[in-house]
Amino acid sequence: MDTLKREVESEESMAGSKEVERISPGFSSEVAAALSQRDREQKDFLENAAIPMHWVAEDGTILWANAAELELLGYPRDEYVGRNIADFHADGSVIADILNRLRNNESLKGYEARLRCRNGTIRDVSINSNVYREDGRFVHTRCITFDVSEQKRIAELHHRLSAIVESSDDAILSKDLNGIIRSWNRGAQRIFGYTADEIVGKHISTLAPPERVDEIPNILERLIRGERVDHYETQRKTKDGRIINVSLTVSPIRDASGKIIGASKVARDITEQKRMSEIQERLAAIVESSDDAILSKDLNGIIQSWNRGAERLFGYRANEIIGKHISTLAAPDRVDEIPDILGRIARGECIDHYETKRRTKDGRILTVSLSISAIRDSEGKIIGASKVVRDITDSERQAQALREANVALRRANADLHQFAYSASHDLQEPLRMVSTYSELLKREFGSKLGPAGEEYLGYTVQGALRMEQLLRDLRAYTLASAAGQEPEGDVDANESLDRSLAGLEASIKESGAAITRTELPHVRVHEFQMEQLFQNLIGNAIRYRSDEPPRIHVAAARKGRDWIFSVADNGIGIDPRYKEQVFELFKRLHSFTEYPGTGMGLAICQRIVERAGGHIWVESEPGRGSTFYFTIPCRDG
Amino acid sequence: MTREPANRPSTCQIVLAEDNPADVMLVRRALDEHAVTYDLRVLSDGEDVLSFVNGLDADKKLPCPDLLLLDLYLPKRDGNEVLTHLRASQRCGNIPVVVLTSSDATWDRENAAKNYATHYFQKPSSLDKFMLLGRVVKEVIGRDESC
Repeated sequence: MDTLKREVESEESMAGSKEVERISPGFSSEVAAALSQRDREQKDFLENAAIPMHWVAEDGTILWANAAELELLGYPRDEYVGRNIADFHADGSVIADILNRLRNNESLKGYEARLRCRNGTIRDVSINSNVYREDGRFVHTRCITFDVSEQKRIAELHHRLSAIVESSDDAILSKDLNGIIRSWNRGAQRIFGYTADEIVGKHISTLAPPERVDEIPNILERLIRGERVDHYETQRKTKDGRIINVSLTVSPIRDASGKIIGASKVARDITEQKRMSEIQERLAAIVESSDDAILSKDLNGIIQSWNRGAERLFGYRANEIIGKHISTLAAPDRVDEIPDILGRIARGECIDHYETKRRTKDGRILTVSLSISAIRDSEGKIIGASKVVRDITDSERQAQALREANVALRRANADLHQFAYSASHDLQEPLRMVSTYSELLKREFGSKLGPAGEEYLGYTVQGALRMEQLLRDLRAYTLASAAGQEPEGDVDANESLDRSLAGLEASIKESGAAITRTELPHVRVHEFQMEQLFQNLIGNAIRYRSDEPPRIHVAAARKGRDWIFSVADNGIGIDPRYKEQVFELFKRLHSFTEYPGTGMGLAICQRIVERAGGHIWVESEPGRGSTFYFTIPCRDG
Repeated sequence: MTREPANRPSTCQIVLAEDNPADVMLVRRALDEHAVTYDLRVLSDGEDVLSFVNGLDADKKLPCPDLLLLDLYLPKRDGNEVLTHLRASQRCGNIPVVVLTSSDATWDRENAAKNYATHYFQKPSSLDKFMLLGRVVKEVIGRDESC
């Protein structure tokens, strides 16, 4: 080592003297003195200039280095000169390349390399070097090194910042104090739709919707005063004319001297965020204003939120109940169901309209309907449950009252029906006795009674028969109005008509009635009621005949959802004034002796038709005849 | 049956379950009018009819009646119950029964048919029609050939 050092030193001094020798031979002493002065100055220049310089031999051995170089790397001269330059390069391949190029007579300009300082730090340098040769022989390099660490750091910083700016989701742009856009990142392109080429150089107001253009000078003024604008929410216009909600942060850009030369502007598109927060606010308002109690709890059953509806329903204020366990609200006999409900929620089940009992703050027990659904975090994990509680105490009570009233009504109806039926039946029994025994009396003792007695007895029998008819009709009427069983199947109205005509055979024959008919449909009416309907209507048509023999036509036609039946006659007709009245119970338009009847036939018809879901009416021209119509709904729609 | 045809017309054993004496009278007249020879035993409520049927089942020596004329609206136990009970009797489950009632309700007719009533006679208000009961009885017992 020592030897090497000495050699290097001697070589160094040799180099110095050689130079002098090369210049000096043959000059006068003044010249020599002047040259020597120049020599000293040059030597000083090389030694003490503020630029690091060194000489390196062909093999890389450092032959000489000036003070600036030693200062740059922090080595004392004896730890640097004489060592191989490769020891001080951070990258081995780089110095190999440098030496290689130099050996090949290349002149390096601004070659970038990294040098290791004595304290371990790395310096970025820019190397300028070429080779001094004698007779073609590589003597040493002439290497000047610039420390570019700071520029490099700044460049990297700049690069990194640019990358950050470029990759930001926010729009980041800059403008000068005149509002002219100077830079434009990809985020800005994404949000506003303009490419940098399209917008740089344009005025910032290009981005403002017409009603917001006014705010631009204001913002610029604030910038000039050095103020920052933070999270200013406004609206901007995209290239395709959409209006978006943005949050702006604008800060002044200063030059190195601190003078404000423009502004950087970060614009965040908060349209979606704004929409979400509006939705959230709206939902919160709905929850808050709901009449139902809405609350949430965590999976341990601890109440987490509590709306005004809950406050009204249970009587607890939010600050009294939040943090308490949900079982606080259970009726004493329903506390057991809470763990089960929590378990179901934890498994992700929904609970819909679960009816149970809950207790208010003041101890009242409510019947409520619960709907509970899981609350999940953003990863879908169940973290609790929201619960809607509806007070159904009243509706429960009303429903119960309604059920009871219905049962009572049905019972009363059944009783009434039973009563009417039994009454008419039980009334009929003594009547039967009156009529039968009157006949018996007449048959066995008629001769002893005399003509007056026989006449009286005749009235007795007649009265009994009429009463009997009344009772029969009353029974039919109660049967027709009873909410009994619905008919099981359709009845063929043709057959019903056949049977009722058979029942009327005697009066048809006696009156000489001519009855015509069309094909009739099948309808959903009790068989015997359909028959009774025809029998009453045709019976009336015969009974209320004019002087001419009755002509009766029975027909049916489909209209919409109904079958319309008609029974038309050529009888005495009905004064239109009475066309409603004739269907009333016991309403009669004629005396019994004129036209015998109970006044119940049409009332029975009306009951039968209405029970089948139809209606009945009459159209008539007094003296020319009547047509009774009734509808029966079709079952095929 | 083992009765000899030569014994006809013998006395027909008829039980009438009827609480109305006026109807009992009419039944007798109807039977008389159609020359039925009969012994009429009148039971005036459903309970009595049930005991009568039970008595027959208990004592095999007692003769079974040839016919039951049964009013449906009887005190204590109604005619339908009586009829059901009778049809379950070992000894006289098969005797002909004419239901005698003023009811024309469908369910009464249906119940009667369900319990194998031989005939359903609706008590009419007309004397002549009531007298037709005699003919009905004659037909029923003739068909049965038991008296």
